[in-house]
Amino acid sequence: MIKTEKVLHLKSSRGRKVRVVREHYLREHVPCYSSLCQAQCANEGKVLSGEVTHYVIPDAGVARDFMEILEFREIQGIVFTQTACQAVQHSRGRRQYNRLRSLLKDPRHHCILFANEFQEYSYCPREKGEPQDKWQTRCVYHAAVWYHDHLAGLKPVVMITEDQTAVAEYSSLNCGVYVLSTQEYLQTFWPELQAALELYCSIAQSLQERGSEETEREYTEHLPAEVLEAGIKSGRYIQAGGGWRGHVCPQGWVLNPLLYTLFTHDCMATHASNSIIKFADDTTVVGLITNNDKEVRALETAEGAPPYPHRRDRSGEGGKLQVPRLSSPPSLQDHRVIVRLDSWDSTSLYPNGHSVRVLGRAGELETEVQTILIENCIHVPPFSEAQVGYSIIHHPHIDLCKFESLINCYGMSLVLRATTYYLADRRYDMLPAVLSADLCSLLGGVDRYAMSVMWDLDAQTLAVNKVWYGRTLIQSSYQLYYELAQALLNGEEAEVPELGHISKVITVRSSYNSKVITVRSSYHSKIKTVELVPDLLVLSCQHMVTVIKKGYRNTLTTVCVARYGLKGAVYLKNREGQVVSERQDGGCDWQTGSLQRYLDHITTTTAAGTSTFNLFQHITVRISVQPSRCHSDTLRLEVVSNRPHQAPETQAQTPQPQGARGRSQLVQEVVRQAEEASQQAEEKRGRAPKLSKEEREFRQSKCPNLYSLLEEVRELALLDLAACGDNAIVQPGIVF
Amino acid sequence: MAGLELLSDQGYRLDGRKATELRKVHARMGLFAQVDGSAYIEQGNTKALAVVYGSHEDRAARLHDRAVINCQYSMATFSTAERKRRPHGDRKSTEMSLHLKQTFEAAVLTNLYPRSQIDIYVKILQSDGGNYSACVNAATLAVIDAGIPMRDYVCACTAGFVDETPLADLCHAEESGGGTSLALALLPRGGHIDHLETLMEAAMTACKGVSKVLDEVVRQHLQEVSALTGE
Repeated sequence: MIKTEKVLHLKSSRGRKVRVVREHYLREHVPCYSSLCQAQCANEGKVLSGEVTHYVIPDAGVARDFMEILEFREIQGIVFTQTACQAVQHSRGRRQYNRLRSLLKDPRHHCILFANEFQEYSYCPREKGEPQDKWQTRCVYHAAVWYHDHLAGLKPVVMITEDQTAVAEYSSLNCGVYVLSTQEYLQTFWPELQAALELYCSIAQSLQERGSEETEREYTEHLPAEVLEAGIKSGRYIQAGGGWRGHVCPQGWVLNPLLYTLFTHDCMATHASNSIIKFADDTTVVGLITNNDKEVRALETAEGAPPYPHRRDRSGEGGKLQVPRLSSPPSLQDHRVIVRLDSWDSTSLYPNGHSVRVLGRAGELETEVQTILIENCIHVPPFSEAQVGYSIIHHPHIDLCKFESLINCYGMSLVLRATTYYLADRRYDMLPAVLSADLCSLLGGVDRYAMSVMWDLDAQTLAVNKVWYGRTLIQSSYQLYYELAQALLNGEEAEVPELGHISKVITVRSSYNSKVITVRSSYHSKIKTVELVPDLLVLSCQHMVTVIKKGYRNTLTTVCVARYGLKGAVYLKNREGQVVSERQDGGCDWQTGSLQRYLDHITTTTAAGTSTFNLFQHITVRISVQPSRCHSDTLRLEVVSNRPHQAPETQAQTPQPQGARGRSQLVQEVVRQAEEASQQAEEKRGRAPKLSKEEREFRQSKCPNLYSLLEEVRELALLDLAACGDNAIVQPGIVF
Repeated sequence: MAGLELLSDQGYRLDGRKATELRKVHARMGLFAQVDGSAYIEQGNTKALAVVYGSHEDRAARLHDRAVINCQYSMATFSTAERKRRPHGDRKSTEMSLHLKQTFEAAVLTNLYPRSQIDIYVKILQSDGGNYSACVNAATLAVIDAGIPMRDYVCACTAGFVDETPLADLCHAEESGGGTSLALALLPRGGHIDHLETLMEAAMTACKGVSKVLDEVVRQHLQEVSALTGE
């Protein structure tokens, strides 16, 4: 190893410039990671294949600015030099650098990293007075020459750079090593890849525009409070309604008669027309100005206004952003475009971006479908021939219990596609059709490996008696299809050939399944008080509760609903300053007053009188479900009366352990209410208007259907077993 | 700089070494004629100069059966990237001197020189990580140059840990990156009594005892608090 030195000028922690000398070791054997290597390099891991027409080595500037073009999978044989990677790291930051690293690790992209700065013969020390980008270009060029010679000229090497003087200087120095600009390269070598050329043009244009921008601010600064008050009084400023949590009212401005923006870092939208878009250092609330009447539609059809086409953000964060600074806006009107935001200058009203891909005209089916997929970060590239072919040749009998081989076969794409996507008119399978329809499916009469779960349910109490997990070999005697399974679940009569007498049993069991679902939901309510309790149970529940302890706040107390094991908070004072006070007949309502908290009781004093809530006193609360747009639904407990609830006469008098009695009662009650609800639904169905033939054919199956069943199964699979205690919630496996 | 990557995906460190490779070592002995022993060592860019004054009479006669070893460690003002304000007498130098003293008391056969004193002076001329190791190595060479008998060579080096890979011989950027680092000096052929095991045992047992005490305190506090609220 040869030891050299390099001199760096860094900034110390105190901000002073420091001259630092660092060692630099050079060695002869640096692996080239090419399969055409003639010198027996120790190439481990990802290796460039020799079947490409050329190898391309991007310059530091190209790697920094045009990385997206290099991410196209069609461009193969990319050799990233260490110089280029370090340029990306130092100028673009950690995020871009991590993207580059993941690109290098991804087996689907044909690119490798060559450590040119540690190779003895391709290292170029920086000359005195040489600017950094010239030095980087020189390093990359020497690396390209070394690479070409190392492969003994077997493959031509193309270096792409944006520096025109470098192109002129280096292009004719070595035969076999070509130096081109990025645009020439794309036009010459990839003429059919139109998307790459368009992307290049859009990025280049946005880079140009960014360089020539005005720097005066386009907006006014935040105003001090006195000016605000004066302005509101005089009518110059509009005060937004609603309650703001923070102490400082956020300021913003009106963009146009229909749209306003506010800048605040701590905001939660409660109105459907407001979207919150969070950026790195700030948050924007973009909302529609309404007078509480019908919402105004978006601005696509605004006449006379400059064209503001609708955009969607690629990162899937949602929100509708106005991005007028784009190349050629007129041609993109009424189109859906994927836009990547590059930067947002502090002086500018809008961010800068460039268009990545045009999806098509807004309103067309294909465009909208693609938009929805991209909004939800779903990428569904077709499976490559290699993946499909490999699976058939090497695994004629796929043992899905051996997942490693499958993952090796599919690699990253399996990880990214963890599920099958069902759309209204198509389906994107998780595995190639060959597998999902044939080799991995339980077909009638064919042996298949499977991962199975068997569980025994007691017929009466629906408790799980036994669970067994294991690998099985199944020869299915009948292949159920979705419609038949749906019919069984709905409790309809279904013809299942070859099963004859067993079909009746299946019908009964299917009704158990639907009951199991309902019961399970209410178990959720017992175990986690914040889960959704079906409305059937909760609509009119008034139960005896025990005040168990004082909260640490003056406004609420914690109660325990012994019957269901619920513990929750009950507010005695609400946000408007009203407190709960008792009426003559024992009921409670809200009145203005005050609240005092003592060691063992809370008293509320109003104009009508004083009421006391003692510790361990029995009161009556109403349990209801509080829906929320941003959070999951929660249970809400409200004080109904200060006196104990009169228990219904049907309650069993025999002393039983609390849990078992509560649970079996719960089960019976829910079953009964489910039956009542289904009866009501039947009547309603009878009264429902007749649907047209087409509607009947294509409408969604009734609930509960297979889809909701699968959803429940998925949620169960994610449920934390430890939180469930010993109430056995079955953990189903997935049978392919 | 957007963060230094101490170990790249291909296994290269910042300066191009692999994880187990040492820096280039260059050493000379016998530089000065007027002292008993001297040595100069370069470990990478860390340069250390050691000078030994062999056993001479100890006026105070502190130990009657062996020699006293007196070490002094200092750094040149030009040794770091920014000029060092206080080369002698600051806390780090005193601590380093103490470490060196303890190291050489274990290695030098001091019982051959009762009632005498051996002086070792080490100066760092350029500091780029591994100061202590360079000092120890330089001092070893200087003691050998002075002809003072030792049990064995005293060799020292640093090691660190990045992303579950151990790195050998850390440079300054790797040391100050906030990661783990360890400096070790040893007699390569054994011959010294290693107390590390017993020390670790004793400390671990003591820690477990302390954890019991802390647990008691927390439980008691909880009991008091819940007694007040009457739960």
